[in-house]
Amino acid sequence: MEAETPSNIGEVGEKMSPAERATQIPRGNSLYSTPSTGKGGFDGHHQWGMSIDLNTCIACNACVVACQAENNIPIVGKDQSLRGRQMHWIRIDRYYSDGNADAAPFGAEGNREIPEDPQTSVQPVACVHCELAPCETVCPVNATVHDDEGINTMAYNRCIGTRYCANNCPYKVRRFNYFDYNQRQLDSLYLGPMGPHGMPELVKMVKNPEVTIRMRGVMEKCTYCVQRVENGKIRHKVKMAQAGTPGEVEVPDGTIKTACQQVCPVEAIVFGNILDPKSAVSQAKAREQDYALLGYLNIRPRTTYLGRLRNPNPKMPDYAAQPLSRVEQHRKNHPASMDESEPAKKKTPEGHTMVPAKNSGGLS
Amino acid sequence: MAHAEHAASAPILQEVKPAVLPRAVLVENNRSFTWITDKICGIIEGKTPAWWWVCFCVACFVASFTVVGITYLIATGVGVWGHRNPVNWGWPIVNFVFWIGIGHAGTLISAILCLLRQKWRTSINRAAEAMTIFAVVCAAIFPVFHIGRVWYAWFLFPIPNYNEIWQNFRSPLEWDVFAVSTYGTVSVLFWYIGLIPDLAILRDRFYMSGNKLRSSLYGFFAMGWRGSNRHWSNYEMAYMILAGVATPLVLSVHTIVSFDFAVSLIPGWHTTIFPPYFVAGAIFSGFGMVLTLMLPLRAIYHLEDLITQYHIDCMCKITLATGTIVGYAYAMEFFIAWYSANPYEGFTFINRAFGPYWWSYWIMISCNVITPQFFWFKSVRNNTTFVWVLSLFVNVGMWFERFVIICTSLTRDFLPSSWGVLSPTVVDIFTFFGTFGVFSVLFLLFIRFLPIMPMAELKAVTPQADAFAGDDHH
Amino acid sequence: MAAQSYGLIAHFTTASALYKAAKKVRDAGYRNWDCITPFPVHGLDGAMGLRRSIVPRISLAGGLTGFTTGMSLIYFADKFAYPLVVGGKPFFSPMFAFPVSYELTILFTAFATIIGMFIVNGLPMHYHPVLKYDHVVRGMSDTFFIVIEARDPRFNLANTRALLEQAGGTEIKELEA
Repeated sequence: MEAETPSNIGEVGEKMSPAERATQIPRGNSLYSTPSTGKGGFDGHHQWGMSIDLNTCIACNACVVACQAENNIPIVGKDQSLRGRQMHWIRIDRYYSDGNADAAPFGAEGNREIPEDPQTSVQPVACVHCELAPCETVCPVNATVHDDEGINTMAYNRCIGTRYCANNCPYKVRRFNYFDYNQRQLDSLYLGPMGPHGMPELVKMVKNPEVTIRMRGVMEKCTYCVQRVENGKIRHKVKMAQAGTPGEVEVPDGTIKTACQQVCPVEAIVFGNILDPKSAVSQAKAREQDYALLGYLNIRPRTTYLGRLRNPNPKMPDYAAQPLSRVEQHRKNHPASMDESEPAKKKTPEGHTMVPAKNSGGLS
Repeated sequence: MAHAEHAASAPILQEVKPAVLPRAVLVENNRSFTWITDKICGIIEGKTPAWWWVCFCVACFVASFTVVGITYLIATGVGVWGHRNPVNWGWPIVNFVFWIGIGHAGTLISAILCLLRQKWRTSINRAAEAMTIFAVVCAAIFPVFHIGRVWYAWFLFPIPNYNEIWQNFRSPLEWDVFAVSTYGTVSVLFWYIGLIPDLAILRDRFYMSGNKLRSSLYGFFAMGWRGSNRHWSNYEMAYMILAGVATPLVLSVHTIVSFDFAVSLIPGWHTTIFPPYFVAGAIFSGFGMVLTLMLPLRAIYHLEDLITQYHIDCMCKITLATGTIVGYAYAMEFFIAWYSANPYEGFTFINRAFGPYWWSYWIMISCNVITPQFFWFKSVRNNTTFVWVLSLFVNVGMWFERFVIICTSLTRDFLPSSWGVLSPTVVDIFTFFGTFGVFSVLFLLFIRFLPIMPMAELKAVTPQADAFAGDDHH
Repeated sequence: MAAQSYGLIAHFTTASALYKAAKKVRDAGYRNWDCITPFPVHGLDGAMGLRRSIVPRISLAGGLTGFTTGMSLIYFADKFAYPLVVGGKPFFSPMFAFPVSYELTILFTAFATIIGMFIVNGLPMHYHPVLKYDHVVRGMSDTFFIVIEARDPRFNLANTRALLEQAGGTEIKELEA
């Protein structure tokens, strides 16, 4: 389900299994060869990957909150948010359809103006941990490099804050600490050293002790909850050693959950080891809907999405000439109230006026 | 000409009488060596003029904006500037490329024109090289201080650190570190080597007039130069080699600066036209600044015999040529964006012309493509005031070009969810304008204390300098 | 003068006069002599019988050192000392190592050229008999001198003075050492 671009992993790569692709990193006809497994890179016992199912995601934002709690992401306040400096490592992108692109395949006219209740598609985007990460190439001090298990790591103590990595990220998932959001009060950020310094005791208690607090001037981003990954691996190794089989270091699928995965109510986010073809994430990635966001850039993201599908067959019970988000959702959730014998206007519980699909041609 | 006489054996030449190609007069009114020395040294030996003090005080005041701005920045955080997600590089990097670009014209005049044996470079090359060095100083302020943790800037250099980790030599910023450092160092060295014979003149003149202190100061840096031809022979060789080395240096430095953008994958940045486009643009903006500086100097110090209309003509023509190259590059970028059928690339260029920053794009086009076209006309080139005004437009236009490239591409790149407009803050603006003060302070100190023209080179291009002058009837 | 003089110095007013005189002095077989000019006069090296400067060789050595330093530093750092997978790029490639090596080449060439030029010229030398000469300021500015040192085997006060006068020199004086 990728864009109409030729495969950039070459013929050899097309024949490989996903596990092989993740470790051998086929480069097609490129003159470059990536240090792959056996040559100093991508050697780990696990290769971490993630799949996010856009069919089930309901944009509840639980993942955003969980990530903030787990990773000590600072709050920046309204003023800084308005200036575009939110620090959330995962964000939910919303795309609105005015119905025009959808209308043609359904044979309808399409809207003349943007509807009040447009079709929304949502996509949670966090760092996708590209195998050929563009951010890593441009960091002058090697603050962001790849580890052997495929995680794009961020070394806060090495980062000097040139912000080139953030510029080069096509997904713009990197976040820069423009001020000392942790140590300074949000209403006196611009006072600098003149303002009050220090984190209140209560705020300190909120922080997760497993994760570093970042100072100003360093870049941060989603780490696949590397603290959970490492903890999981260590615990498993200890358990195996105690059980007498120290060689079995591979963590069973489902043991390590990222914060966003753990909290997602619809289990849209799946994280795991893609070297294991039986893991949940490998099975998700094996589905036909699996695609890489901005895959044509040849950066090989480890987080892929399962594209959202709708069935356009007019015989479907929830068929609508133009897909409308509230109508769709309401019909799904309240099938009894959508009586076709009453084509008059109905009100939703919130008082929003609805027009049945037959009269559509501009929803007010 | 002498050639006709030596080739008198060819009978055809007696019939044809080949035209004599007039050599441009580089020092008008047949000035003598003594006149040249007195003219240039007089500026240094005389009393400081009142206008100099006024300009210096204003320049110091303006330079303080940068000092205060940078201090506030380091104390408080990069957030005092207008940066945001997705525009993580804003005015500071625009300013960096702007100043580095200006510096390149100085090296072009000193080094490239030297290799091309363009003798008209002699009257402007000292001031132009000084301009380069001061522009590099102003430029270097930005990449050093724009980083989030300035106190760790030494991480960029391959010196031992407790993590035993090396720098990333794949990164264009790391290449920048080496390139700009090398450029600054070689420019200073090249400039200094050129100064040595002139410092010797000043040393001896101050000694003769009894000012032992100044004589010792200039003498220390003159290295004991005594004009020996054995020394001149090695000196000329060293100068030529430095010119030969500075030429690929200037081309490579701005190429590497352009790689800061070209190596990234952002649409509008990821294009192979950047290296030659940036180099041409740098030379264009640098010549604009040279004209901005030299024309007032020429008027104030009455240097019309040394910076002649021929010099101004040549500078205008180079400005026109490089401006046209830059205009061609704009057109090519646009064409390739369309021809590539890459939707992101095509959108970027429509966005530049009609998006939220459309006004900066059209300022850029009018200042960089249209204003230099005036230089086709001799009447324009002869009007020094008009040339000076046009040079200001060139400077403005080139700043906007870097702004368009850097900020519009970052504002709207791949995913619309990450689009965001940059708003510079007061600190941004004042820090930038303060660098003009820094530059002016340094340049004013230069014209007060150092010879603004290379006296030795100037004398060498007068007709009297020719050892074969007495033989033929020039 | 009772003390040993450094040599004789003669004034010349034009570059062509100096050029012709230099040829005469060279042809007379003198070795330890020099021309003092305010700017480099084209052709004077040949007129003095000087060989080509050796500064280019020093520059070349500097340049080669710079290039190998750059390439070796990056090779050592990225292949041996701390190999890191960065953007899926190979550990070492002459492609990405080139810009840094190129800049180091230029930097080392410049250093070698300048330091080499100073060493070959024997500079800095702030004390020299020519610098003690009263009219040296004119030699820096608008006059040309020829200086013939007394330590030259062919030096003879009377004969050398006659040679210089014959060559067109004026104000011939002895330089104190």
